[in-house]
Amino acid sequence: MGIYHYTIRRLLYTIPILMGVCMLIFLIFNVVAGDPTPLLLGKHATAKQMAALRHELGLDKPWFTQYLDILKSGFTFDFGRSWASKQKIIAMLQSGAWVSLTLVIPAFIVTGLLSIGMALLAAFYRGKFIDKTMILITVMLMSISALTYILFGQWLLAYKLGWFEIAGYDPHFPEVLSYIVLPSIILVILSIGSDMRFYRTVILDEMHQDYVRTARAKGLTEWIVLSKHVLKNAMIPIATNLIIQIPSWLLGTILVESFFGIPGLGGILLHAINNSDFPVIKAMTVLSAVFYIVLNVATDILYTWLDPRIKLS
Amino acid sequence: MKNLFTASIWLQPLQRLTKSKLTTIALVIVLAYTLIALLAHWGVVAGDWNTEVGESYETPSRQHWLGTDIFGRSVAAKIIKSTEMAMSIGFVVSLITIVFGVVLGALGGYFGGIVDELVSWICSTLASIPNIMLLIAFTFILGKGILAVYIALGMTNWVDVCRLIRGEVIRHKDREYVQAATAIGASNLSKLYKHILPNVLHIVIIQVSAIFQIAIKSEVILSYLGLGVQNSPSWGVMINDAKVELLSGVWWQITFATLAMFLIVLAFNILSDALRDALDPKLRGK
Amino acid sequence: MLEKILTVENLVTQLATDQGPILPVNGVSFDVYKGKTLGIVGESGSGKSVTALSIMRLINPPLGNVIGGHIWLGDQDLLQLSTREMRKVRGNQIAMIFQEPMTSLNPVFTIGYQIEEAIQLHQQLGRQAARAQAIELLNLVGIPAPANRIHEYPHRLSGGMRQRVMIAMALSSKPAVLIADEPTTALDVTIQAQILDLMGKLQEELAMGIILITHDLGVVAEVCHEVAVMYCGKIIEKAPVQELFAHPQHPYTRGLLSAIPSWEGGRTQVHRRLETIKGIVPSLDQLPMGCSFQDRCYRVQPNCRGKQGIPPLEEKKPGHLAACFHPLLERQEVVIARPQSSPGKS
Repeated sequence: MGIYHYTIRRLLYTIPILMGVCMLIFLIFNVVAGDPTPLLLGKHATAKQMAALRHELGLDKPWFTQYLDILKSGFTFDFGRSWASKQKIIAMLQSGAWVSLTLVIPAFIVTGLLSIGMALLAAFYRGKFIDKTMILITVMLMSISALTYILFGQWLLAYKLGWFEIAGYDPHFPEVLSYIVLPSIILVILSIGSDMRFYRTVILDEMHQDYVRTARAKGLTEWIVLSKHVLKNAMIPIATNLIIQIPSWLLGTILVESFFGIPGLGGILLHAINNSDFPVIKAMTVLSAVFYIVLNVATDILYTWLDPRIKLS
Repeated sequence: MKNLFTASIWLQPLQRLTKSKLTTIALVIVLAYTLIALLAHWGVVAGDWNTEVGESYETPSRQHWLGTDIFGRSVAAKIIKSTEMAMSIGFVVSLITIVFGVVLGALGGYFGGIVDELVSWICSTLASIPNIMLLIAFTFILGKGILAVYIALGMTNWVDVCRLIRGEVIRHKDREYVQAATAIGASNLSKLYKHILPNVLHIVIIQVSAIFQIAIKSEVILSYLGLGVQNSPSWGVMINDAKVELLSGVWWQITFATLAMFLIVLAFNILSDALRDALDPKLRGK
Repeated sequence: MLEKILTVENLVTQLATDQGPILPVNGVSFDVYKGKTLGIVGESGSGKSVTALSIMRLINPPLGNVIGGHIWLGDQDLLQLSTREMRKVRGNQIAMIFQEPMTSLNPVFTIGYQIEEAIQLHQQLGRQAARAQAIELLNLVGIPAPANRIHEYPHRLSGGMRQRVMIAMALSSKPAVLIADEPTTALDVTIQAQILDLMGKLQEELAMGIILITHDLGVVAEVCHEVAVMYCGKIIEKAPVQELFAHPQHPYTRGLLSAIPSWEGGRTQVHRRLETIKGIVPSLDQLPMGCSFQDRCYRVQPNCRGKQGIPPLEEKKPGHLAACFHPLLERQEVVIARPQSSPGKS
């Protein structure tokens, strides 16, 4: 009962945000961007041709209508067609999403498990050698550019040692493995540093709570205190953090996918940038924003479900 | 604000900072990079980065310490010039972020009501678009060039600062010392400026050290995507060139560019951790 | 006859601070007897909580360490036990309850789970038996409808109820000693009385020794049999409760007692001004030479300031110890609040 009302209320709150986001996108892509027709048609286009194209692209409509179009597309997912390939954008994104998921899902799971595990270890041995070393290593890992990992990884493990494919994609199992394992590993390395440090801080903060003292006074081992009592409390912010990362994961693959020739969302985005494929970039911006807003609502609801202290009245 | 500059407030955190050898090294690295960047900016060093000084793809040797690139230009000079680019990006982006974040956060937090609603709405709107997407959108539309990079990176980072500052201001504005100032007739502006802001300064310092390195890392990615600065060397472009170079066994450009970036990002990472430990009043009691 | 169950001998605990190591517990000794309550009184910073945590060996690096003394439970010195052995004692033979019932229970586990966890940790019981015992314990501490309450989360209970749950958890293994660190400070006065009554009743039933830590002399008067007053890490006076209230020897104790407002008739002057102890507690890294109380004492003499060292805790009267070179003598009786003899005490 409470959750139902809370969900409705929460969704209502997203309306001004959605409107704001569409306004921002409108400002960037419709106002600031200016008229793209000279770019598309080339230097020798006539005024008539440019006017025709502008009409076709809907750029001659009054500005408020253009804004509404963006807002509508956030719900209908009808983003028109790509300028470069003439495909329906939503179809492109759908197929790209599936491909990205084969890459992202394993990397996401592995990163989640590893970072929570490492954070627990670091908290257990806090201040000691293991903790300090793990932090130093993760900080160092975080200081190396993603590009370097990709280039070296590709060169060393795929080119020189031949353990994996250098680039390309084959959706059939088990061939797909040789294409996605290396990029997945790289994704894990890129994300694990900051996640682990954040979770470690969350866990350490929890350890200063009074109930931890009570748990110790009961005679429980330090490991049980950590992995049961502290972790269950820490999972609340950790779980919400994991969920809110999902859009960044799907988009953050842009580098990895481009280097490994994987035709996922990241590859599509890069392609669009290189071809100045305006509507694709605009569509992805709208879609990622909508996705993020929905996920935000989902995490808020998840939060109320996870924390027994929250009463929804 | 006079009390901000009293030695004693800075002395203790500085002491604690330099207690660790690691942190002192990090501090030295940051200062060194700043110095190099300034020197490069004034043309004192690496002014001739664009000149052909040797054969194409010469390996590192006594003559060219870090080797040469495809055009025979000194890699060492390019790296130094790139340092200027990286440090300036870090600096400007931090500035934009802090100005927007502090002003809007303080206004929203202090005045509450509709001002706060407006600020929160702007923050949520910007935050709803994932950073990478926003970066690409901004740079794509604003065109290539350093200004677009500044704006894009600035806009994607100020929201976090804004929220932090807003939270702190809210916490502080009902504190007794502010109420005391009200009781003696202090104006809103003076209360904010003299009393509350000095208490949120530590957040600003910690955030700057964090944003600096985010800006540097992001610029590398933007360069690769072709959305970054075009006519000046940058670590991103140098690493990007290695795509082709590695196959020919040319390893020095990517290695030294990575190293140069690694050192400064690592230094900032260490510094921001140490600053957080030294300045965050919540942690001090533990 | 009085049976000793716990003896603390010259306990010294060191804590690490920014200003260097300090000794919040500096040579503390006392005995706890079966079925009797020892009250440890003092201001904040006197070292009373650290003493309690030290007995439980809950003070460990990097926070600090117990660096000297013995804690005799039966014929075992707890300080010599390994971590594993000590864990078997904690929550089992010695249990502890804390000041903040609102935050001392884990908010994401039901109270049933938390009690059963304590039960199953020290006793070899299956889940069903543990559940049954948990319900029985809730009954014992006076929680109505325990079979239902077992499934509730801590935030649904009031402060008083939560403290009862803490007591139930602590008593699950029928400990020989219960350490209560300011158990009622965070509660309303009426609830306070209920909890103290409950503890007294349980003490009788289980013949437990209780160490009650508090800064509230009223509470001490109600429930304690013996009192130790701590100041700057040392016990500066120790006596049976009625004796302490009637004839305080140490000027600090006298100061504490004078600061209690009273409305009793008899020899008390009802319109007297509330007395305070001038000055503030010195910080532990800047203790003066000699008696720690010297800068606040109205009876201070030159020899208190270092030449004779720190006054030792000695018996000034049978069963009554004080650490003072110039203790209050008999004729300076100060009757402030005569403790009522309540039915719960023996």
